[in-house]
Amino acid sequence: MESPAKKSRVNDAGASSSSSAGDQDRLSALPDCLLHEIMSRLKARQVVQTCVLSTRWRHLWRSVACLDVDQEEFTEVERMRMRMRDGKMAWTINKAEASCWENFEDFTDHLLTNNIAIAALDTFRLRVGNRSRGKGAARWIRYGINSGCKNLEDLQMEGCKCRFHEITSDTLKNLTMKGCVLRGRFTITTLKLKSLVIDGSGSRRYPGQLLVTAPSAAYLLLAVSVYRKVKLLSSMSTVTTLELSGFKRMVPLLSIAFPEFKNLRTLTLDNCDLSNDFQMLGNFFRASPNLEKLTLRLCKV
Amino acid sequence: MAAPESGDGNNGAARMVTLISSDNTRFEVEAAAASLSQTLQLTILDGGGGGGDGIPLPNVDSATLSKVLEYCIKHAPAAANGGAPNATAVDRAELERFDNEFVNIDQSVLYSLIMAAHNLEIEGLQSLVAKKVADMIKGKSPMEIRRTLGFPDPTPEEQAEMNAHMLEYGWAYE
Repeated sequence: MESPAKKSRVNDAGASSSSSAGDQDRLSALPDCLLHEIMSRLKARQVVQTCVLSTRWRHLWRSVACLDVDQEEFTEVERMRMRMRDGKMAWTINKAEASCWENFEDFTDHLLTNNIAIAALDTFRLRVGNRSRGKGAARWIRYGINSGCKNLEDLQMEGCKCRFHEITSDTLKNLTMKGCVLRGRFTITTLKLKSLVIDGSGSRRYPGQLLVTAPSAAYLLLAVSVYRKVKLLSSMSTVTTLELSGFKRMVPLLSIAFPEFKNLRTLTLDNCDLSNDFQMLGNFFRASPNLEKLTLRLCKV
Repeated sequence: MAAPESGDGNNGAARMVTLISSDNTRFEVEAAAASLSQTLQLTILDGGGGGGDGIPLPNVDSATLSKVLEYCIKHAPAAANGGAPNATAVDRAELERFDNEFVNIDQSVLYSLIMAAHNLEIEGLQSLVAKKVADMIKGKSPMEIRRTLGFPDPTPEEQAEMNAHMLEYGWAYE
C-alpha cells in the first residue's frame, strides 16, 4: 500500500489520545445496531475503512442501513496529499478534483457491486462534485434502485448526471435531486413517496418533461423550470406543503385544468413571475381552500 | 409540564414516579420526563412506578441513570408538546446548547449512556450520543481511530491480518 503520508499522521495522533487504559475499546462491546447507528453518520469510505479496526469490526460495514457516498471525501484526501507534495494551492485543487474521480469511481463500483448488502439499505446519499464528469452516477443509481435496494426509503442525489429516465420504487419515501442533470422525459413512480425535492440550482432549466406518480406525497419543492408545469402539479395535488422557485408564468393547457390542492396548507413562491395580473396566485387561491400560510419571496409583480 | 395524559386525575401537581437503578438507588422523577423512554412510558401509562413501588431498572447503574434523567428532564417540556411546533427559536437554541454540553463527557460514560438509551428506548438520546461518537471518528484514519477510542494496540497477527485486508480492499484506501 502506498501511504507514507497516512502512516506519519498515525504516529502523531497517538499522543493526544483521550481514553485511559481502563475503558479500552468499550465501544466494540456495544451491540451491532448501535455501532451501525454510529457508522451511518460517517461517509462511505470511512465506513469501509472501519473493517481494519479489529476483528469485531471486520464485517460490520457490509450491513449498514445508511450509505453516504460523497466525492468530496476523495477530493479532500487527494488535495491533502498534493499539498504535502508541492504546496501550490490553486493548481492543487483543480488537479486534485481531476485525479480523485478515478479513485471515487473505483471505490463506488466496488462498494455497490458486491461488497455492501444493498438490500439492507434504507438511506442512500450520492454526491458528485460539480466539476467532474458524474457519469458513474447513472449506473450506481440504476443498479441500486432498480435492481438492488429493496428497502430504500431515502434517496438523495447531488450533482449527478442522470443518464437514465426513470426512478421506480415501492419503498421510497424521500427523494431529493439537487443540481442533477436530467434529460428528456423523466418518470418518477413511487407510491409511498412523502417528499420530493427537485432543485435545479446550477441548471435552472430542465428542457424536458417530468412525469410523477406519487399519490401520497405531502411535500414538494420544485426549483427547476420544467415544461408542462400544470400537468406536473396535477400529479402532485395531494401535497400539504408546496414550494416553487423560479417559475415563470403558468399557462394552463386547454386540456388540463388547474388542479385542486385540497390538502395544501403552506405555499411558498420564491423568485416566481407573478405579473399578468397575479394569475398564478389567483389560481392557487381558488384551488386551495385550506391554505393557511403563503410566503412570497423575491417575486416579480 | 406535567403529562396530562398520564391520568393522575387531580390537583395539578405533576405525577411522580420512582425508578430504581441496578445498584438500588431510588430516583423520583416526573412521569412526563420518564415517559421519554418508550419502555417506561408503557409501564407508567399502566399506573406503574407510583407510590412506594418503583420501577426496577436492572441494566442501568445509578451514575448512568442520573445522567439519563438529566437529559429527560430537560427535554420533557418540548416532547410533551409533540415535538414542540410552537417552540421558539430561543428554546430550540437552548436545547441545542444543552445537548452539546451534555455529551461533552468521558467516552466510557458515553457508551454507558447509549446502551441505556437503547435499552430504555429514548430515541433522541441514542441519536445524540451516536452523533457524538461519530464526530470523534470523522475524518480520521483507522489508526487514529484506534488511538482516539482506546483500542488496544494490534498484536502482530492482527497487524498482519489488517495489512492483508488493506491489500484485498485496496479500493477503499487508494
